[in-house]
Amino acid sequence: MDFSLPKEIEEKRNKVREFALREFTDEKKRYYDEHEKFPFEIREKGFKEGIFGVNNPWEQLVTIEELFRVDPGLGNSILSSAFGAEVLMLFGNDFQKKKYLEPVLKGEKIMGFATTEPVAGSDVAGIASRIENKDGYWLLNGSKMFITNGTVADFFLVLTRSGPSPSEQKRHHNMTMIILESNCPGVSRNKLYGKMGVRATDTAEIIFDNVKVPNENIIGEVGKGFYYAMTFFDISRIYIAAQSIGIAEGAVDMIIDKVKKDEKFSTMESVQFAIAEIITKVEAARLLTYEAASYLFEFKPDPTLTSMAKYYSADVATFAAEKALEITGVDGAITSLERLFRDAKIMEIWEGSTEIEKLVIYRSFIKKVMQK
Amino acid sequence: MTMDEEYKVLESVLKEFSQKEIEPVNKNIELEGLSTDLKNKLASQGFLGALAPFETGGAYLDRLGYAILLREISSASPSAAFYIFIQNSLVIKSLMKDNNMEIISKIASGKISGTMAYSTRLNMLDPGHIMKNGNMIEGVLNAVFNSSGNIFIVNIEEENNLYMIDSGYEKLPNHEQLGFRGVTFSPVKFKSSNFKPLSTKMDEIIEDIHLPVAAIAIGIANGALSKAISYAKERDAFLHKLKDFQPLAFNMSQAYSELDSLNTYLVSVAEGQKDLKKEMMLKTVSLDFARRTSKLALQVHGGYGYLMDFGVEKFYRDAMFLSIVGGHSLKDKVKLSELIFESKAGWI
Repeated sequence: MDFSLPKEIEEKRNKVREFALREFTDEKKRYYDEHEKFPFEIREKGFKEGIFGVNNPWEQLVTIEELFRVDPGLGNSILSSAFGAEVLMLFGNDFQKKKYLEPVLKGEKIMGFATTEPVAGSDVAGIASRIENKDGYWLLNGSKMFITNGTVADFFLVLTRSGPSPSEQKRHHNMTMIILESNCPGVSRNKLYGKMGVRATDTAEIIFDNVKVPNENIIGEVGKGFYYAMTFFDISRIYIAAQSIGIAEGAVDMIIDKVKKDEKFSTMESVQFAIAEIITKVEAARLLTYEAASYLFEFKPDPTLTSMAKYYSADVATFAAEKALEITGVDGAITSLERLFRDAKIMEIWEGSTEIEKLVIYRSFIKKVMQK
Repeated sequence: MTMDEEYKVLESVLKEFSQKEIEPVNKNIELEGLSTDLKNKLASQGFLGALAPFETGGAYLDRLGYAILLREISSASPSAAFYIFIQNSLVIKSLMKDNNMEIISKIASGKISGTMAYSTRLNMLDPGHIMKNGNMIEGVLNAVFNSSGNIFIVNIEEENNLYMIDSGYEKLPNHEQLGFRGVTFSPVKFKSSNFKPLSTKMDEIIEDIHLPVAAIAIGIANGALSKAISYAKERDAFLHKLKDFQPLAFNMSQAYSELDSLNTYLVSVAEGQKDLKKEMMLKTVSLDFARRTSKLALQVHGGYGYLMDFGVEKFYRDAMFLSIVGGHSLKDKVKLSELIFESKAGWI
């Protein structure tokens, strides 16, 4: 069993690391965080230099790690431009791929993925936004919340209800996923200010008021939207695990920075133990994530492993950031580490909270056990 | 252990004050700092001179009264509690021995504010350095809270003496500030010939901060948990209220039980005579609890907890920050180990 990544993947890792260290300067990190602005120019540069790419998923994974290691907010602005693209790749038709997916992959357009609603976060089956079939088109009403790229995306993939729930147990039935262009009449978007972290990432509430959606913008089959969303979460949760590993690595970098500057600091066993604990957890998180990723990238996703990777890595990210602040003290608190601490917490919330991951882990595990 | 009636009245007055005067401006405190208006209200209630004698317009609270004040204000705004702590535990206490009643009176009335630049007592690689050359104190201290204040208490490390400086200083640009955003935090440059020696030693002041820091930490946990409990009663998910789900209800009940125990412990330590070991133990447990509980509270709120509007994320940031600036965490651990082992301990 070989645990090392191929040479070209490690080369990509080095390239991304070099890019992030060069482009994510302390001034930029602080500016975009403070002003809660989306860094269009950094995103463009990332595309121009070939930082973003979906051809090799392993490359994508190490890219996420290295960008988040230096700054999660800025890193996410590059990576999330294609947030939800996998749904189009897997379930979109040729017309949709050409019209919507291609420009995104070239960096010409930005997309978003909209499932969460004001009253339905973790409970995806509880969404209330709906589309009605009219003569030759669909009419969309409702609202979405916490949508990444909410005010900067050119279009969204929107999960919506296309019919009533057959029963309480089958609330996930009758959902449909659609492509919605941002400039459609009836779409209004309100940027959410005051996030604790990932503040360079654009997040918004979106309201749909009698928005006309053409038939050609229905993805896959009507009524299969929940399945498409869950398929995507099986992919995106791997990415969140990689984001978390990046943050934890970034916290380690900040500790090492102090170790290099302060000889006395690293002679203390409490510091040595803290570093040992963090790097052990990071290694465990990475192994778990890569194992889950290896199944996914072979088109055999294992939801148990995926959710384990997301849950554990997110936990490691917050642990590492907290521990790093604890031992570096004020030195850490007045540097990028304070931002990493604020950024780390979202890992336990977005793309399925830790509580949801635990439910998925149990349910998929017990299903396997009972089938034996 | 139950509190006397006068403390219950104080607690009730403080809850009402927080509800009426702090909650409505809480977001502004985080975004723009404590307003002059709120500082005046804190002063008019006697909070800025909580430890100051009556003749200076202070409230002259005892240890328990002061702990209750900090805990209750912190439950609403940790920044406001930290500001009160700076004025009382750091500044007024430094000035008391030398009968600086006029200045104490001005601080108690909110006309001026002060700070103690204690960056040399924090876990910092470069806390900065100031020195006294004849009739001049000069240098830079790198981590100063309420750096926009008017009075600075500084320690000349070479001679280990405190001095009060009221002119000849310059606030430098703010640091990135994880917590207590209502209070300015930056380096300060000193070049002053206008200073006055104080007979109190910095170590006496720092040794006395454990109980008040514990009170602020318990307030943070209380504020965060109260919000989470209210939210869990109202928020629906999967066709039920959040409170109906076992993991969430059990975790919050556990935290609530710990909070109750810690409050009893706080009252017990504050009512007794000064006991460094007990105060340090209380601080250690309270800081850990504040961090765990504020994290839990944020998680209960989900995405909404991550937004400033819901008023819970500040508790998470402030709890972490307090555990960094509420003393030198490493030195405190060594000291507590020595008190427990009654000999040199925890030094390798």
